[in-house]
Amino acid sequence: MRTITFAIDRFDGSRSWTQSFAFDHVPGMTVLACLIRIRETQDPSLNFTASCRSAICGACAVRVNGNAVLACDTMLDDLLEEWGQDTLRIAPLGNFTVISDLVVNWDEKIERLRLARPGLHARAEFSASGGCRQSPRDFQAIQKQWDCILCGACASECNKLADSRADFLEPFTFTHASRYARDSRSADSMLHVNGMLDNGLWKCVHCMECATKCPKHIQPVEDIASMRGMATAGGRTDGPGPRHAQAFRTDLENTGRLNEVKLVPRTEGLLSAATRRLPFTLRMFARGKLGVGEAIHLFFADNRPVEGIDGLRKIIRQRRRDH
Amino acid sequence: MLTYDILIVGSGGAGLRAAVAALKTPGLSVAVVTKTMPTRSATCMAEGGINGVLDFPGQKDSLDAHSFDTVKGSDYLGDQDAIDFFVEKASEAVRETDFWGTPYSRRDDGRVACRFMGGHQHARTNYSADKTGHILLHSNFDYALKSGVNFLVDHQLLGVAVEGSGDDAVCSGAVIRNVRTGEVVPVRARAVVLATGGYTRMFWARTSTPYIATGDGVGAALRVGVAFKDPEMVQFHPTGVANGGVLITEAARGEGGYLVNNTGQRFMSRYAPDKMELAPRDITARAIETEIREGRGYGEGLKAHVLLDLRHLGRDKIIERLPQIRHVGLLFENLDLVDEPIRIRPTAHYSMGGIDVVDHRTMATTLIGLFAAGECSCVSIHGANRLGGNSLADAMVTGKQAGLGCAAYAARAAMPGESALNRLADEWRDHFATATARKDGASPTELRDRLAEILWNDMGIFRTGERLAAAYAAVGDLQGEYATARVGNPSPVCNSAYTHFLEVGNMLSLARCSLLAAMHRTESRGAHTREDHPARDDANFLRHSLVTLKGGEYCLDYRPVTVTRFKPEERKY
Amino acid sequence: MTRKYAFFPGCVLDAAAREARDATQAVAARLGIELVEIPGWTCCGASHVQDIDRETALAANARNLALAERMGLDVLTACSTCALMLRTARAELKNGRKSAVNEALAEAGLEYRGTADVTHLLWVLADTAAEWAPKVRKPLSGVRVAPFYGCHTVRPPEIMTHESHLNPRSMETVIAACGAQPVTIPERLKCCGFHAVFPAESTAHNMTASAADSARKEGADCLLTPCPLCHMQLDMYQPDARATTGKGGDTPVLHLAQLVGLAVGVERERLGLSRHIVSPAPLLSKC
Repeated sequence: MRTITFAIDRFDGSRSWTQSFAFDHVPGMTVLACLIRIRETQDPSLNFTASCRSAICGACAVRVNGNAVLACDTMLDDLLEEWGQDTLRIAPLGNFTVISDLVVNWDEKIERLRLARPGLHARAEFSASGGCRQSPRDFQAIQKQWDCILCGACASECNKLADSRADFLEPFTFTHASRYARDSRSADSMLHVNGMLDNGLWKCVHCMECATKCPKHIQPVEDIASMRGMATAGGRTDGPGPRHAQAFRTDLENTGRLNEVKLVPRTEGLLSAATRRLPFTLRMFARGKLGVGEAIHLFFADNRPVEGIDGLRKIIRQRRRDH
Repeated sequence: MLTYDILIVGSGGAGLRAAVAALKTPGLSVAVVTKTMPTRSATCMAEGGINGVLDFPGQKDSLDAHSFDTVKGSDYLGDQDAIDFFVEKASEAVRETDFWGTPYSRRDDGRVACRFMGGHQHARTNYSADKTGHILLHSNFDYALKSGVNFLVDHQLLGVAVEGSGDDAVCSGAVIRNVRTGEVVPVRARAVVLATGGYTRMFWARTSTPYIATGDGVGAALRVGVAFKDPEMVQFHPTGVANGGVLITEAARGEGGYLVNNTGQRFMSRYAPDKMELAPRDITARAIETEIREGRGYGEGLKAHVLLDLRHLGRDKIIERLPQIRHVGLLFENLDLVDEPIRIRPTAHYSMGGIDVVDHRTMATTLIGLFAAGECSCVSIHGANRLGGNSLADAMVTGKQAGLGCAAYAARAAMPGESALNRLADEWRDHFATATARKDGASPTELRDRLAEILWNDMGIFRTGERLAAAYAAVGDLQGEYATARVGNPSPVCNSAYTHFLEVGNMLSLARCSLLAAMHRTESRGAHTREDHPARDDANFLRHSLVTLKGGEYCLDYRPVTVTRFKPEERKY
Repeated sequence: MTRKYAFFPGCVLDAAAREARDATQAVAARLGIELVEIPGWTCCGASHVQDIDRETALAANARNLALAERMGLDVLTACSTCALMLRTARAELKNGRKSAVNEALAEAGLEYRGTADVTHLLWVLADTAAEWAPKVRKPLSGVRVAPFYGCHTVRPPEIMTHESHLNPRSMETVIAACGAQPVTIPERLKCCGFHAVFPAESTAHNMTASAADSARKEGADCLLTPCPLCHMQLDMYQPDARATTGKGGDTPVLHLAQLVGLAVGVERERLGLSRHIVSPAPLLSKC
C-alpha cells in the first residue's frame, strides 16, 4: 500500500513544530478530504477551517509545498504528480497572522478591505426603490472580479506583501476596489481608486503570484494595472510609478525603444538623478555598462527612431481614435 | 462587560442584512458575531437566484401570483399573511441590493435578468449567472463594511441569556467563546438577532450544506424555552453526489441528463412519463429512493445510489454548458462525466423549520429582545416545502425586518442586567473544563456519523411512525453517550475539536425535536412523506409543530396556520 | 538540425545589458541556432505601458508579432518580461482582439495572423540540452550556480506554458548540461524587485539583497538568471541593496547565455563578463 505523508506546520499559540501524518493512498481524494481524515482518525487537535467543500466559500486555502491552494478544489493525485514525491508540506497561508496550525487571522484583512471603500455609491439617477440599469456588456466588465471568494490565496505568495505589509494591500483588496471603480453604476470611480493610490497601488512588483494562485482565475495584478490607468487618466500622475510608466510610453511613441539614460530623471526628477543616483551612475560608467559619450548623446538627443516608426505612430493613432 | 445595543449572531446573508438595517437607526452600536470569517456561510452556495416580482409594463406576473405559488409550494403550511408581506418585500429587496452594488445579470434593456424555477408560474427568479448566492453574500458583506459593521470573527455562540423570569423575562445578551483564545465572553445587549443558518448538517453524510450549518442558533433558542417550529420539515434535493451529498444542480437534468437504475433503465418513465427527468424535485427524489428500496439501485445502506448519465450529451456540450457539474464529478467522485455516469442520491438541502418567529414584521420570537432571521428562523414562509429562489429572498427580507425590528425595540428597551450572563458564562467555563478533561468516552464524530445514518434511514424521504419512534429512542441513546463523550483536545487555544463537540450536541438535540414532530405528524405534506399516512390531513394538521425543551424533556405543541385568501386545495402541477 | 528564429532582443539587451545580447548571439551561433533580428522591433511595454495605455501596448506588440510573421519565423527573446508581454498580447489577440487591432496594423501595411509562436532562449536551451551538451568543451565542474528564474519566466502559467510554474526544471537542466552544479535558494522563484525599483525602492533592495545573500550562504559561486531585467536588478543594484540592508554585495550574477558560453567555449571577451557591477572574477578563476 502506498503511504502518503503530510508534514503539517503546527502552532498552538506559543509553540511551533512540524508534525508528520501518514495515511494510505486512496485515489481521488482532495487535500481537504485528507485533512479531515487526519483530524478525525489521527489527531482531533489539528486545526484548519473548511465550510462548503465546493470551492465557493473560500474557507480552506492552505499552502502545499509553499504554494497556496484551495484544499477542497485540489486533488492530492495532481499534487503528487506535480511534485514527484509522496510527502507534502502543508502550511497556513503566507502573509497572514497564524492563529493555530492552518487557521489564519482575517481581522486585519477585513479592516484593510475597508480601504477599497467597498459597496456601491450609485449614480444619482438610480434609487433604492427603483434599482439600477446596466447593460449586459457593462455587467460582464465587472463579472470576473465578483468571482472573488476571499480565500486569501492571492495574498499568500505576494512578493510585495512578504517584504512589507505596511505600504501595500492584499491583492484581493485591489480587486474589490476595481470592481466598484469599473462598475458603470458607480457615481465616482475615483472614490475607490484614491484609497488604493494611498495604499501602494504603484508598489506592486508584478511577481504575478496573485494571478497564478487565484482558484477563480481572477488577475488582481490586472486590476491593479487598470486602476493605475484610471488614476493616470484622472490626472493622478505624481510620483515615480506613473512618471516611470509615462517615460516608457513616451519612448515607445517617439523612437520605438526605451531611452535608459532619460528614464531615471524622468521618473525621479533631474535633481535626484544627478545627486542621489550619482554613485550608481558612476558605477555604470566605471564598469562599462554605459559609455560617457553615449550617455550624453542619449540624454540630449535620443535613440534613433526604429525602422518603420511612421507605421507604428499610425497604428497607435488609429487605436486611440478607435478607443 | 462587553456591551452592545444589538448583537447579531451569524454572518450569512440574513445576519449581514440585519446588521445593515439595524445601523440605519442612528446611535445604536451593532456587532456581528460569527464562528468563521463572515463570507463562509451557506448563502454563498445558492446558485439559481432570488425571487422577486419586478413590475414593468405588460407583464403577466404579480405579487399575488408569487404569493399563491409560495403558498401552494408550501403545501399550505405557510402563513399567508406572512407570505403576502414577504413577496412584497422580496420585490423591494432585489432593487435595493441592485442599488447597493449586487451585480445582477442583465437584459438588453438594462433591467435585472430573471429565469424560471420549478413551482413558479412566471419567470421571477432574478439572478447573477449561476452564483447568485455568492454575489448576494459578498455584496451584503461589502455593504456591511461600508456601513461600518463591527465583526467578532471566530466567536462561537454558546448560549442566549435570559434576565428575569415569567412575564418579566428578557433576553439580556449572549455568551460566546473566542475560538482563538478559548475565552468565554459574556456580551450584554438590548437585543439579540439569531441568524445562524439551517440545521441540515444533522444529516452529516448526506447534505448539500456547508460543514458549519449545524443549527447553533436553533439549539440556543431551544435552551431558553423558545420553540423549534416545524422541525420535521427538511427539503431533500434529488441529485446530490453519492459521496457526501454536494449538489449537482438541476441544470444537469435541464440539459437532458438521464437518471438510470442498475438495469440500465431510465426509471423516471414509471414515475413521470411526460416530464421524465424534469419532474419536480420531490417527485424525482422519491422516485430515486423507491428504485433503491426496491433493489434497482447500486450499493448498500448509506452508499446506495443510482446513476446520472450525461454521456449522450457529448463532450462539447458538457464542457460548454455544464463545466461546474463536470468539476464536481471530478472532485467528489474522481471521474469525468464525459466518459462515465456519476453516482447520485437525494441530499438534505434546506431547513424549512426553525426558531419560532411570532411577528413577521419584526422577526420577534416569544422571548422579549430575541429575534431570528434567515434559514434558522421559521415564520413560516416556506411551510412544508420551499420553492427555488425563495431562500435568498428569505435571507434578504427576514434579515432586513429583523434588523429594523430589533433596532426599534433596542431604541426603547432598557439595558438588561448582567447576572444571568455571568451565571451562564460560568456554566460554560465549567463545561469546557469538564468536557475536555474526559480522556475516554465516545468520539463526537462517531456519534455524529451514527446520527446521520439513523436520520437518513428513518427520517429521510420516506417515513413511518414505527421507524420514527425507534429513531427517536435511538437518538436519545446517542444523547446519553454524548453526555460522557470525549473532546480529544484540552487546549483552550483554537480548539476546533471543542467547537465541533458543541455542534454535535446541538445536532443531536435538534434531531430529537425533528423526530418527535415527524412522529406525531400523521399525514403527508410537502417534504414530510409518511408511508403509513400518505394523504394530507388538513382537518388535523393545518398547523405548525412547536417543540420546546422543558426540564430536559422535549414537548410538542401546535399552532394553527394563518390562512387568508388561498383555501387549501390539492397540490398538483 | 538548425533552428532559426526571429530575434526580439528587447530594449535592455540593446543597452544596459548589451553583454547579454553579445553572449546570446555568440552562444546561438556556436549551437547552430540562427537568430535573425526583427527589423524595426519596438519596446514591448515592459508592463509599464500596459498599466497606463493597454491599447498602445497591445498594438505595438501586435506589430512586433506581425513583423516576425512576415519573416515566416517564430519569435525568440532572451528577456522574460518581453516574452510575457509578447505572449500576453498573443493571447489577447487570440481572444477576440485580432480584427480590431488588424484595422490599425493595416495603416502600416501589416497584418497579424497568429502564426508565430514566442519562445524564450531558456526554453530552447533546456529543450535541446541533450543535443548541445556534447558540445560542452569546458565542463564547469565544481562551479556552484544558484538559478534565479524570475517571475515572468514561469508566471502566470496560463501564458508561460512551457513548464510547471511550481516546480520548473529548465534552469537546472541547462546548468547540469554545462557541467555545473545547481544550488537551490529560497528565492529561486521569487521576485527581484525590478518592476517597482522606483516606487518601492526598499522592497526591491530587500529582494535583491536577500537573493544575493542566500546564494552566498548556500555556497553558490553566482546567481544565474534568464532575464536581463532580473540581472540589472540583482547586479546593478546589489551595492545599493547592500548599503540599505547590510546583506549581499559580492554575489556575481550571470546571464544564462554567459554560463552556457563559458561551457561551450565561447571566447570570454565575447561574453561581456567585464561589464558586470559585481565582478565575476572569482567565479571565472574556477572555470
